[in-house]
Amino acid sequence: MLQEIYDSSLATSIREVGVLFPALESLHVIALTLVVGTIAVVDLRLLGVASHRRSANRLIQELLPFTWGAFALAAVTGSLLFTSKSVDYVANPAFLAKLAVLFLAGLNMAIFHFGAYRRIASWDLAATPPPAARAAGLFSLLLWTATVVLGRWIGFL
Amino acid sequence: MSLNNLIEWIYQTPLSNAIRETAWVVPAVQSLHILAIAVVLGAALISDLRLARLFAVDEPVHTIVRRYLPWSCVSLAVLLLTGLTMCVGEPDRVLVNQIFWMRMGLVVGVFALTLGLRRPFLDPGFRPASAWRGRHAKGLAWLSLLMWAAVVVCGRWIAYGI
Repeated sequence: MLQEIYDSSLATSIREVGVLFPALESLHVIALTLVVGTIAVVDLRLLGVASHRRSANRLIQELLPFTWGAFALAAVTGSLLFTSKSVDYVANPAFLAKLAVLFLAGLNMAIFHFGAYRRIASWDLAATPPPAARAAGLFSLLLWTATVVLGRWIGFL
Repeated sequence: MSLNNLIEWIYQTPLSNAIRETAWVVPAVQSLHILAIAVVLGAALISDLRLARLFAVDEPVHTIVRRYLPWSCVSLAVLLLTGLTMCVGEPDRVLVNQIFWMRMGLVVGVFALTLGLRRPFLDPGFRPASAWRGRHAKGLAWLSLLMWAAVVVCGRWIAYGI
């Protein structure tokens, strides 16, 4: 199936039309830096570092649309990049590790969403959120940093 | 001393060799560079969208600017340091590359624009309504965001162009 993706006209165009791959890479970098940049503001707030407003809930609500939008762009560009060299990427340990870490980042987000976030009314204005929220913030920062590093390593392996 | 002589001289220094030949250095420095870009873009997005009155309009501009400008400045320092390391490690890759110099020009330009737009707002008493900057803040904020996007695009294209 991967070979079919690889041989498809879409994947072939990306590989062979000179500017397509670099253009997709550039968009991918813009998207991922916006994901990490906006998520970092929320994560730091969860860790007790002040943002531009006191209410953690309002901060999450105003920033997350940008994070999700940027993530969507990163996912689309990433998928297109993947199709062009799918056969090589699935054999690349950095790529596989990156997917695993992305999954963990999503898992961390889900745990937070159904856990500490459910009780946010009680700690919304606290300068230092409860331990579960702080853990979520810390793991998020670590996992997204790892995603960036692993993403860069893909090109070196 | 011509540019090519300079490149050759840098290339043969022990430092340059160490950067190039220690396997993990270039990817690690590049990763740090990307993370610093994430901080700069995040800070820029929030501040510029606030200046364009599209984000967090309930918070005064100076609160937002004062919160994020230091992050932009520290990240710029990280970008310059990591960038310098990459230049020293691979001078032949960047110093003759027109796209690299274009990117440097854009970086200087966008930081000048960023500082110019934000500095006045660091004073809580500043009222932009009567100033030129106030009228054009929205357009300049969008220009700033576009320039950042161009900086990233050039960054990727350094690898493809000479």
